Amino acid sequence: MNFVKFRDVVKKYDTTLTVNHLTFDIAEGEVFGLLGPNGAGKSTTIEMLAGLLEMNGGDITVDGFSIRKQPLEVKKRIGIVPQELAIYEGLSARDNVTFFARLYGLSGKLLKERVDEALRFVGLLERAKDLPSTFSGGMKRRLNIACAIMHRPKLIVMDEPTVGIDPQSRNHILESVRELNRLGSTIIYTSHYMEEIEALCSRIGIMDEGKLIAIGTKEQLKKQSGQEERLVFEVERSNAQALSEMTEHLAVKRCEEQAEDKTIEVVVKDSPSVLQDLLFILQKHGIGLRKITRVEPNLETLFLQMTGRKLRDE
Amino acid sequence: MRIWWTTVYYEIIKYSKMRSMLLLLTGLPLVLIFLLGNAFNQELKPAKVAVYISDQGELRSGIESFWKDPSIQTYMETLSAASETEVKDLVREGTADYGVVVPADYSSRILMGQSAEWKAYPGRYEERNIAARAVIDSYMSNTNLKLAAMETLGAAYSSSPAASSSDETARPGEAVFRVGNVSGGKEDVFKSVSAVQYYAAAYLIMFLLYGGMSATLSLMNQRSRGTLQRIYAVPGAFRKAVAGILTGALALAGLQAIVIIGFSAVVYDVDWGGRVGWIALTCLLTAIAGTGLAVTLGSLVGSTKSLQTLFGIVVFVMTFLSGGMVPNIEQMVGGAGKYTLNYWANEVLRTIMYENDPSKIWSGIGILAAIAFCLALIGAVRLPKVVKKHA
Repeated sequence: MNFVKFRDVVKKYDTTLTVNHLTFDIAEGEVFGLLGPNGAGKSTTIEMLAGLLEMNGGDITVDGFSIRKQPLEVKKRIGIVPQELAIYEGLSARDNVTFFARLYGLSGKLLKERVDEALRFVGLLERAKDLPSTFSGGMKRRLNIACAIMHRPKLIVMDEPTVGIDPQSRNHILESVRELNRLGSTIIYTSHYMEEIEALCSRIGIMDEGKLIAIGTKEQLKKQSGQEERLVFEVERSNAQALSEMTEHLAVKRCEEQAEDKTIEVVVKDSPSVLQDLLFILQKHGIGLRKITRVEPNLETLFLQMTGRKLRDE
Repeated sequence: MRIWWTTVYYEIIKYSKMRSMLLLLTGLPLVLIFLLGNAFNQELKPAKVAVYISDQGELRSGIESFWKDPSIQTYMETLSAASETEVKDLVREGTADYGVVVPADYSSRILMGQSAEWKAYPGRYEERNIAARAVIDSYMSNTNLKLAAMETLGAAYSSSPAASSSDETARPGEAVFRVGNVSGGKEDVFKSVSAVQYYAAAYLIMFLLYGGMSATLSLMNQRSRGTLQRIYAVPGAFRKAVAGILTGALALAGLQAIVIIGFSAVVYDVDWGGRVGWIALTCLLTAIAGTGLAVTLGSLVGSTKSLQTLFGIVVFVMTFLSGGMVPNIEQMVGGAGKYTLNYWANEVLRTIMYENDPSKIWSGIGILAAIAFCLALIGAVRLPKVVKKHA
C-alpha cells in the first residue's frame, strides 16, 4: 500500500521551479531515500510534505489525507527531523523533548514514558538533565531526532540528519533509523551522502534541479547505469600507443589517462571478459603494472552519468 | 490554551537561564536611575539670573532688596539688565542661566488685588533653572502670604476699583502672584516630580521597550534555528505557540517592571504614586507597544543583529526626544518628543506619581492605549514576515 503519494507537486520561487512536477509514491514501512546534491529541491519537497511550505501545484497525501485539504491529519502522522538543529540550547534535553511532546498533546504519565522512551532511543537518557550546549554535534543531532519521535509518528521525515557529525554518531543515527523502521514507521531520508542512502534505504529517488531523475531499488538504479564498471590501472609509465589500443577495444566505453597519478581509467561494460585483453596490451608495450582496482557501479556513477556532475562538490 | 500555556512556561524557563540579559534589563535601568536621579537631586549649582525691573511702583524697592538678599546668593548671582530685550539676549548667549522681567504694572496690579506675573526665561541648563525657580518660588510664597493677610484685613484690596469685576482679579484663596514661564508651559523642569522620579519613569519606559524587543528576537532566533518550523509541523500549534512566545516576553517585561519599581521605591525612595493598577496598565501598554514596534522593525530586517541595532537606535532616539536623557528638551527638538511613544508613557507615569485627578490619568492612558493598539495592529500584520521562513 502506498502510504505517501506525491502528485505533480510544483514549487516556484519567482520564476524558478524549485520542485518541478514531482510524482512518486512511497510504500508503508519503506525506508525511502531522497538523494541529490545541495539545491536539488530535497528540503523543499520535505517542507511541503510536512506542511511547512505551500505548494504552487499538485498535492501530497499521507495515509490517504491530503496536505492541502486535511493538513492537521497529515501533521498528526508525521515526525520531522529538520536539517537545522531545531532544539533549544537554553532547555535541558528532557525539557526539549517534553516541550514538543506537550505541544503534541501528551500529558501525565504517558508524557513521562514517551519522553524517557525517546531519550533512551537516541542514547541520551543519562544526559537528560544536561543542556544541549554541553553536547557534541552528534548528541545534538540525536536530540533533534528525539524531539521528532516521542509521539510515535507513522511517518518520520529526516532531512540530512547526519550533517557535520563524527562517524560514531553517524552510525548511531543510522542504526536508530533502522530500528524506527523495524518498529513500524515509514521513513523518508534525504541526504547527499550516497553511502548512507545505499546502506539504509529500500528504495531511492534521485533528485536534481527540482526533478526526480531516477527512482527504484538500489539494484534497479544500478541497472539503469548500464552496468558500467571502471578498471583503474596503476602503471609504471604511460604509453600513447597502448592507450590508443585500449580505447579502440570494442568492450571499452571510455579510456582516460591521469598522467600525474600514472593511472589509466577504463570504463567497460563487463570487466571479466575484457580484463585479459587489456592486460595483454599493457604487457605488449612493456608497461609494468603496480595495481588494478575494479570500481563497481554505484549511485554516484549513475548521478554522474545522468547529470554530468558529481553529487558532492569536492 | 494548553499549547499557549506550555509555550509561555518554557519561554519563561528559557529567559530565566539568560542571566546576563536579565541582569542587563533590570540592573542597568536601576544604575541609570540612581546616577541621574541623584546627580540632579543634589547638585544644584548657583544660577546667574538676568533681572530687569521695569516696575517703578511701590513694590520696586522690595523686589530690589529681594534680589540683593545675601541669603539667596548661595543659589544665584544677579545680573542687572537694562531692558527685557537684554534679558533675552543674556539668556540666549548663555551669559545668564535664567532671566526674569518684572513688568511695569506689577506693583499697581498687586496692590489692586489683581493677578500679576513675572516673566521668566529659562536657560539651557536645567539644574540652574531649577535653582532660580526655587528661589523665586520662595519669594512668590512670601508675597502671596502677605497679600492674603492684606485681603483678610481689608486693606488695599477693598480700594481696588476692579476688585470684583475684572477677570484677572484673584479669587479668594488663590495665589495672585505667579511666575509665567514664557518659553515653557509646564510648572517646572521635572514636571512636578523629583529628578529621581523623573528618571525612574523615563528609564522604566526605555527598558520596557527594550524588553518588548525580546519577543521578536526570540521569534527570529527560533525561525533561524528551525524550532519555529518544528512547532509549525505540530498540528494546530503554531498561532498559539507564537502567542505564547509573545506572552512570555510580556511576562519578562512585567518582571522587569516589578524589579525596577520595587527596587527604586525601596532603595531610592522613588514615590511611584501608589496606584499599582494604573502603573501595571501603563507598563503593559508600553510593553505591548514596544513588542508591536519590534515586530514591525523585525519584519524589515533580515537578522537579529540588525534588529537589535535598529531597535536600539529607535528607542534611544525616542528616549532622547522625549526628555528621558535631558529633561525639558522639548523646545530644543521642536516638540518632536510628542511624536514618541516614550513621551506619552512617561507622561502617564509622572501623572500617576503626582496627580490626584483620575480623569487626567485616564486621558493619558487612553492616548497610550491608542498608540499601543496601532503599533500592535501593525505588528500583527507584519508578524508573518517574522515567523515564517519563506514569507
